[in-house]
Amino acid sequence: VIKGLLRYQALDHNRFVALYRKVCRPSGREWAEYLRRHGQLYHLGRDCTILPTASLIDQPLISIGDRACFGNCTLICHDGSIEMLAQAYSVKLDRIGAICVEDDVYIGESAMIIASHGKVTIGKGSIIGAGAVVRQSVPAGCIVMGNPSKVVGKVEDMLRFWEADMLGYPWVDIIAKRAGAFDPVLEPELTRQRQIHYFGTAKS
Amino acid sequence: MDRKTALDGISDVVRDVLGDDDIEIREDMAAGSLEGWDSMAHINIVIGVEKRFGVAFSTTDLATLRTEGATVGCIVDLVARA
Repeated sequence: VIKGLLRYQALDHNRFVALYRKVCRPSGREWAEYLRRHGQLYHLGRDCTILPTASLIDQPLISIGDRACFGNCTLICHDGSIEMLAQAYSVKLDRIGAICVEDDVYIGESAMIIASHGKVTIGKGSIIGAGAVVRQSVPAGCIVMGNPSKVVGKVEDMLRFWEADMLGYPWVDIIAKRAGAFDPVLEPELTRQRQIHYFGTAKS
Repeated sequence: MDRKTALDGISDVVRDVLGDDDIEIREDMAAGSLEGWDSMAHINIVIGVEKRFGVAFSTTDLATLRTEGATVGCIVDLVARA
């Protein structure tokens, strides 16, 4: 009841948000919905998943398309050294950019998208790998990794191989039945089979 | 296609993807045994081989290349068979 009330207050009225995050631990889908309703983003499309731990700094300069999926990543559109430079060198500077994340983009754990000067566009259907530090625009359908980041392949190519890899999994039949990327009902059996596959035995 | 032609073409693709013109490829080498031949490079190598020889491997073929013990010779097999 308490969680329901907090969820209602946060999503419908933008109240008790810190408590809502702490108590309800909203899913990425739910947090994206909160941001869509109450965030300051320039644009946030439909059916996105954004972990509450994702750090979206300078929200008014960030545009996110439909079905984007963010792990615990950071998006930043300014250069923080401006304040130090202003004081130390008595200069007046502006160092601001913008980030446009197109539809169907995935940004992985600890990845950073930095647009401290100009606009950085993450093209439709691209994957930004964990830990990547991206400072330049990424073409559509690409896989980007590393720091400094570079395009290492195409999503369409990777998909063919991941489908092939699936054939080698003992739990391939369970995945075929699963709706979406996670099903709490199927998860225990999946975990058991994965433990056996990788460790030899399942943890009792 | 004879195996030597296939191996020469595959060698060119591997050198191109891994950015090393001095790499020598043998059929008995394990796929992934060279420095830089990680899972992403593997994808780019196989896709590069497909383009080079104008062939398209099936999902089952790709799965064969991902199994433990897969060698460069397995890629040669697929190209030579196509």
